[in-house]
Amino acid sequence: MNKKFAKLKEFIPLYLLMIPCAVYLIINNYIPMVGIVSAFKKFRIMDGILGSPWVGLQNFEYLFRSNDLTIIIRNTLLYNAAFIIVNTIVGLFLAILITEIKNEKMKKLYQSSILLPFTLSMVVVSYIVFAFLSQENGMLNNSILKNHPVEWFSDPTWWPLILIIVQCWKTVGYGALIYIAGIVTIDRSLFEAAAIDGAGKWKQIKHITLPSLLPSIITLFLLSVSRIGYSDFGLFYLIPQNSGTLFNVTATIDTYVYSTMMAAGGIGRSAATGLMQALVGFILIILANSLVRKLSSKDAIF
Amino acid sequence: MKKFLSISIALIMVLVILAGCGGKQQNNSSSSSNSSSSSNSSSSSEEPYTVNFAYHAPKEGNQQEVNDLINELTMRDLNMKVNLIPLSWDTYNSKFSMMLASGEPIDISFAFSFSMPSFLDGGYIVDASEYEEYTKDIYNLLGEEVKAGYIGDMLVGFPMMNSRATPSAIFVRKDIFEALGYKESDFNITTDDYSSFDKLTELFAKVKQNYPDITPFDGFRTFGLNTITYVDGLGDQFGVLENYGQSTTITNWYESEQFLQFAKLNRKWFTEGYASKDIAVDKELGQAKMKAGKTFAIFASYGPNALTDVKSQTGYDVVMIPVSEKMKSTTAVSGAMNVVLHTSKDKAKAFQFLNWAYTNAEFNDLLNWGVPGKDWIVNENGQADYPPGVTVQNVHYHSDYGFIYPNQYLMTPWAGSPEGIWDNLKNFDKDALISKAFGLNFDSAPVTAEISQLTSVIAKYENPISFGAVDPEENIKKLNEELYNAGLQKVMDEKQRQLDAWLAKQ
Repeated sequence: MNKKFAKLKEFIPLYLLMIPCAVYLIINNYIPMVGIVSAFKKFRIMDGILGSPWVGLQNFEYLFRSNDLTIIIRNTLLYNAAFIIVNTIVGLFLAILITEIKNEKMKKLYQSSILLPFTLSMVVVSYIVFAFLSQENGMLNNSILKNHPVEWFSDPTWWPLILIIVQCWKTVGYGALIYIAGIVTIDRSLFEAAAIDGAGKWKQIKHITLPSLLPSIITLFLLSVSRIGYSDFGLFYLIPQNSGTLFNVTATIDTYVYSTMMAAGGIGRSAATGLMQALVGFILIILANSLVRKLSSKDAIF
Repeated sequence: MKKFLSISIALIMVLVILAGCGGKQQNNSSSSSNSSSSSNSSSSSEEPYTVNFAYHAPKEGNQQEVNDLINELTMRDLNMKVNLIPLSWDTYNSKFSMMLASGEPIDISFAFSFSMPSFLDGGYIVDASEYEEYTKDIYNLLGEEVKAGYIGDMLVGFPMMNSRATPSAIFVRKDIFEALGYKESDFNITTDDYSSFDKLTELFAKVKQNYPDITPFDGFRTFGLNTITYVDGLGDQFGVLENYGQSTTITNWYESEQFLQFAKLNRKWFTEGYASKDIAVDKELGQAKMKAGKTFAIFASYGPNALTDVKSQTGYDVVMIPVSEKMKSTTAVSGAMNVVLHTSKDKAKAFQFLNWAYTNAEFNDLLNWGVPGKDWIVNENGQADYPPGVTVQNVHYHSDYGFIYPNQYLMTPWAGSPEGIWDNLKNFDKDALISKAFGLNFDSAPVTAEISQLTSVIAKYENPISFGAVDPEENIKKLNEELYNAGLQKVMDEKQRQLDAWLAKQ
C-alpha cells in the first residue's frame, strides 16, 4: 500500500501540470457535448437548448434530401484520403532529405521554412493562388501558357490537382517536422552497421528509417482519419474563389452547410451536420485503430 | 528542496492559468458597459433604462463621445440611456448572428430582409404591432409604407426613411466617354427593346480599341444578378413577377427572355474581351476598380444622388446611363428595417426609444456625423461639413450611412449635396412603376427547406451565367433543370397562393 502511494506521489507534479489542460478539455470539449441534442431540436435562442421543441431527424433531412449529397460526401472523403496519402509520402521524403543535410545552419533554415506556409492564413493563400491562376493577369496564363490560356476558374479538370498541391504545400511541414524528430532519435550505429554491410542509401531508408518512423506515421494517420468528415473550409471555399462552375469538384460538406446557412433553420441544421461528420470520424477511427492493433499492437492509440 | 520547488511552481502555474480564465470572461462582451446602471440623481424616481442599440458604423471604437451626447438627449426626453453597439457591413453577417445566437441583450437593431427568414425562425424578433401605442409617430411618418414591414400577420419592423426604388445604371468615366465623342443622349436603353443594349457593346469596342490598358467593363455586379431592379421576387429570386412587377402571375425569371438576353449580352462582352476574364470570380466591386483607374464602366444600382456618390467612391467624374425603369416593390422598402429583439429586457421602452429616434433630428445628426463642433460644423450653406483642419483621413467619427439610420430626412445634408436632397430622395420613387405586389411580404416559413436547396443551386450558376463566363443557352437549361429538381415549382405555387389571397383582400 505504501509503495503504491509513494509511486503516486512521484507523479503528483505531472498531474498538477495536467490539470489546466484537463479542465480546459472538460469545459471546452466534454460539457458542450450536451449540445448534441440541438441536432434533434428546432433550436430557438429564446427557448434555449432545453426548451426548444424536439423534431426528431428533421434536421438531417435537408442534408440527405439534397441532390448534391453524393457529390459533397464523395469530395470530402476522397480529398481527405488523397491528402493523407500525399502528405505522408511528401512529408517523409522531405524529412529524409533534410536530415541528410550536413550544414547545420541550412538544416535549421529548411526546418523553419517548411513550416512557414502552415502559419499563413488561407485567405492570404487564396490571393497567392489567384495571382497564379487569374485568367486576366495571372502568372500562368501570361507566361508559360501565353498562347494557350486556360480558363482556370471555369474548367473543373485541373482542380483536384490544384487543391492537393496547395494543401500539401501548406500543411506538409507539420508532419515533416514530426518525422524529422523521429529520424534524429534513430541510433546512428544502425546506419553505420548497415553501411559496413554494403547497404546503399535506398536500402538503409527502406529497412531502418521507415520502420523506426512507423509509430509516428501510424499516429498521424489515425489522427487524420478521425477528421475525415471535416474539410478545411478556407481551402475549398476561398481558393476556387467560390466559382460556381467548379462546384462538382470543390464542394464539400462544410462549404455546402455554409452556402445554405443564410436560409432558415440555422443552428439545428448545423448541429445535425456537425454530428454526422463527428460520427463518421468516430466510427472510422475505431475501425482504423482496431486494424492497427491487429497488425502492430503497441502502435494503436487506444 | 528541489521537490518542494517543483511542486510549488506547478501550483503557481495552475493558479495563474485559472486566474487568467477569470479575467478573460470580464473582457468578453464587445459592448462597453460603462453606461449601465450608473448613478442618476435626476428628478425621476425610476432607474433609467438603458437601450442597447445596434447600428451600422464604418469603424468601431470612436463612439464614446457621441454616445454621451446622445445620452444627454435621451435622458432629457425619455429618461433612458443608450448603449451604442456598432456593426460594420462585413461583420453584420458573422458577428451579428453570433450575438443573437448567444443571447446578448440587444434591444434594437437594423436587419436586412434576406436575414428575416432565419431571424424569424430563430424567434429573435418582436411583433411590433403589439406595441403600436408607443410608435404612433413612426406610423404617421411611414404612412402606407408601414404595411411593407408585415410578414404574414406579424409586423417585423420599421423600414428606414429612404428612397424607395432601386433602378440600375452603367456608370462610365466622363473623360474617356467625351473624348470618344459620345453624349448622354446617344443612349436610350430600355428593356422593351433589347437591341438598345447593343449601343453599349459598340461603346466598349471603341474603348478597347483606343485605350488598350483599360478594361471596358468590370466589377462584381451585372444585369443578371440585380433581380431587385428588374422583377419583384417578393423577397427572393425564386418565382417572380416579371417586367418590374407589372404582372400578377409568378414565373421563373431564369426561364425568361430577359434573363437570356442579359446572359447573352454579358457573354458577348466576355468573349470579345470587353469584360475582364476574371469578372466572374473577382469579388472586387466595380467602384474600387474604377478608383484604381483600371476600368471604364461599372454596373450599379443608384439613388437620386448617384453622380455625387460614385464620384466620392471613385474619385472620377462619371456619366450615368440608366439601364432600367424604376420600380417600387416591397423589397425596396423593407430591404433594411429597424427591429426590436426578444433579448430586450423592456420592449415597451425599446419601442418608445425607436419612436423617438424616428422623430429627433439631433439624434440622427449625432449618429451620422458625430460630435458637433469636433467632427462636423454647419457651413455657410446650411450644410454639414468638416471643421477647418479636419479631413476624411483624420476625422474622429464620421459615418455617412444615413440610409441605414432611422430617419435621414431629418439630418443636415452633407456639403456638396444638391439643394433639396431630401425632397429628391422622397420624390425619387414618385415616377416609379409600383409593383402589383407592393405591400405584400412573402412568408417563406412553409418552404424553407426548398429555399435553402434553391439557394445552393443558384450559387453554382448565377455568377458564371450572368457574367458571361460560360455559354448561356446550355447552362441556363442546366440551371433550370436543377432548380425544378430542388423544388422551384413548390415555392412558386406557394407564392402564387399567398399573392392571390392577399390581392383578394385589397
